[in-house]
Amino acid sequence: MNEPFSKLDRDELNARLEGLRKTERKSWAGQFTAFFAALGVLFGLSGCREHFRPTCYSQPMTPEQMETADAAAAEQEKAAQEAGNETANETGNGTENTETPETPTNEK
Amino acid sequence: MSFWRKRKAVPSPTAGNRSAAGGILPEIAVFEVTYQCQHRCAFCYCPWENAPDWPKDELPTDEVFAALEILRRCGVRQVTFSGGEPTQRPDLREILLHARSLGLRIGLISNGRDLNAEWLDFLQPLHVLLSISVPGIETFEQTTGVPGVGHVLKLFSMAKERGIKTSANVTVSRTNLPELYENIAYPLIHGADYLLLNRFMPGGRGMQYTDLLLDADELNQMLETAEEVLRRAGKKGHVGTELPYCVIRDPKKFRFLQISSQCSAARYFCALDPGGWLKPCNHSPIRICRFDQIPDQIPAHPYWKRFLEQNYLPEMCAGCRHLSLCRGGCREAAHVFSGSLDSPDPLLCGRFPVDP
Repeated sequence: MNEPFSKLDRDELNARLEGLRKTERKSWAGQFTAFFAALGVLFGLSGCREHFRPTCYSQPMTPEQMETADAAAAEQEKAAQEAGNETANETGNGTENTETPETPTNEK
Repeated sequence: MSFWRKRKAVPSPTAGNRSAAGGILPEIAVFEVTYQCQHRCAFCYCPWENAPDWPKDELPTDEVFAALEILRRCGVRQVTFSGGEPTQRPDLREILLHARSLGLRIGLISNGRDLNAEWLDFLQPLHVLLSISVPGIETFEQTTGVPGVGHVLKLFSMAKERGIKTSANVTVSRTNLPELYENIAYPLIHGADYLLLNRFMPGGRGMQYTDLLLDADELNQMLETAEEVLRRAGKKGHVGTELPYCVIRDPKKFRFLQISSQCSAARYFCALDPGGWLKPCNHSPIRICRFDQIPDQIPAHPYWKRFLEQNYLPEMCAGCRHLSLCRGGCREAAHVFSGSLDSPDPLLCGRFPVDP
């Protein structure tokens, strides 16, 4: 059970890791996949195989979801800032804005 | 947008049940078929490991078959067998064959100790997705209580030779964080296809080792290290348990490692324990009903519905600008650690600085 294995230093490990990437690219299967992936992108298909997922304990975010959420958050902050400026103008100079910015509700 | 970043859109996180068959259960189930395990992992979350009174009521073979049939009828399409250590069941081969005969996709999460060439030859024609736990290289024995990392690494090579897809299942605690680069790199260079990265979560035996929990800085170190190794190797991976979005320093920089802040319990997967009791997730200490009661009890069960409706937001997260992405991290870990489903994630229990 206590089988030996080759111990590598960081440089050797990195070389082996990079070797994996190059091998995959050079292999017939890698080129085949890349070719059809490129076709998929060209024709507007998904362009990416589903990730191998032995389990699915969490539902990963897509970059699109993150970007949408960031844009919404930025808009919300901008709106809150504008609302704050207006309140400050209405209540007079130097008054701190204590109004709580409107926040998105928990969508259900 | 690069090729790798373009992915299939994920459906609305609030739309509830994800069963492809329109059933009452989600498409993926984790079936913990035994309480037995030869390892003594410090991070083991299995709820019975911290509950001396938990009944050791393992289902006999015929009831496992019946449970699989009910899961299938209720909409499950993939069953991932886990435990304990599933190979500790002498009838595991029969169980896997039965699952396959029902048309289920099969996953197997194992510590690898009893797997060998004969086992792999058996698994190969079943198209099993094999996930092998590698919680350390130099620290393997310290975490698991037994030696054997060389055997586990060899398994990845043997599986690759047979065309079996494997995932290296790396749970990260303060014990193996210093060697995480090596911990991920070694399985990959030995043939692992994918990385399933988990942070150590409180629960089960892990409740005795809460000093090994990562803080927010260490968690980011974990993510960045994993991304770097995966990028070098051109491989992919994902974080198995959801993270509070606010603790991730730069979520958009991760191109090879997928991260989630949404709880999937009961919506995208569920769990069945060795006694045949349904749980929203494998971390859950709550047994909802036995498998034969699923069709009658699940549709209206209040605990199940809280997960379906995501009705568990911690008070500290109310008004957060990331609510469309995040429900405050892992809900059952919060439940186990702090006593209720709407407690803060253990990462947010007041010890660590976060960006609100």
